[in-house]
Amino acid sequence: MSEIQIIENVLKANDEVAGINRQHFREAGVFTLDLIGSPGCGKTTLLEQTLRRLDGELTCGVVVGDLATTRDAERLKRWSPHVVQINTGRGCHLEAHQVRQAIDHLDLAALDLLVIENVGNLICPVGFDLGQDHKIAMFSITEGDDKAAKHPHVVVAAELILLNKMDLLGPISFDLELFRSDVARLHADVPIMQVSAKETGDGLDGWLDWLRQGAKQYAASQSA
Amino acid sequence: MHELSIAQALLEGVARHTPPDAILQKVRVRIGPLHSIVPEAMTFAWSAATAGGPFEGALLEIEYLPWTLTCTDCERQWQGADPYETCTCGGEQILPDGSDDMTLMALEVDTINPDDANS
Repeated sequence: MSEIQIIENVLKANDEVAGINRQHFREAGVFTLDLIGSPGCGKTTLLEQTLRRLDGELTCGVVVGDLATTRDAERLKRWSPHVVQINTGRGCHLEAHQVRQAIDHLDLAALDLLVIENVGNLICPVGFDLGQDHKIAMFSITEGDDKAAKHPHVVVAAELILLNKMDLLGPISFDLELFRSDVARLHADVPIMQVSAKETGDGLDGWLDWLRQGAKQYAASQSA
Repeated sequence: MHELSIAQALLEGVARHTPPDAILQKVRVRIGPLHSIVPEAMTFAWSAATAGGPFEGALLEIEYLPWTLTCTDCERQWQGADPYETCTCGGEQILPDGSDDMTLMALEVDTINPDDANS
């Protein structure tokens, strides 16, 4: 028996492609986010509202991942022509090469902001770099107030936490203090934004400002 | 079940590094906590990825890297498997930090002796 020492990144192929994606985003000056959340937490609804409200101000694109159907892309295309659907088949997360292929169908140079809506899943997408600038974790109050605590990996990795469906607070019991302290316990400085993407639109102004700010800073850093 | 795609990526790396005249016995990898790997799922995924191929039966040995935990009360830093460990000072506000390391460390192989093969 002999041993062969290697020391090589197992996800080297993914990370290399993620690096190429990042380079493309940089050259095009497009601020890119990886949006991670459970099925049904409201990711697509949030993005519909985002595209609608930023129309005429920022040019936004979406790469959206689902196991099957083009339903999300169809919804989003009502608000932006820059939308590409990825169907992963049985894949529980997006990988960099899928994003690489998807962005071939986008005019990146025309975009200010690109959101990659990951497959609905709080676990698997966390460890795969797609070339994004930030990962965002999205929860909703209908999932229960323990979900941040139960999914520490995504909370640690995220640079912004969104908590959606706030308009249902009351009929849905949800301990906001507990959720916030669980998040703070895992990731002290991460901002938490409470939103109601579908019905009232409450909280969306803060989210849109965060995007405007991020896109502006990104553009400034690229031209510097 | 992202373990399946990780096993597939691992298999590609292993295939690149295993000499053609060697029989692979063991693969050693190191995995950081941000990958949320379930050990049983990873073992199953490796078996599934290698089934019917030249590396079928090779063992997968995984070193799971711990979380780095920092107590915000006394600033003690230590390593632990559970991000919810509390501090010896009684502090409960512990910040976990973990790597997304995923490294193929080494292969253990039996080399076929040409003399044996010819005899």
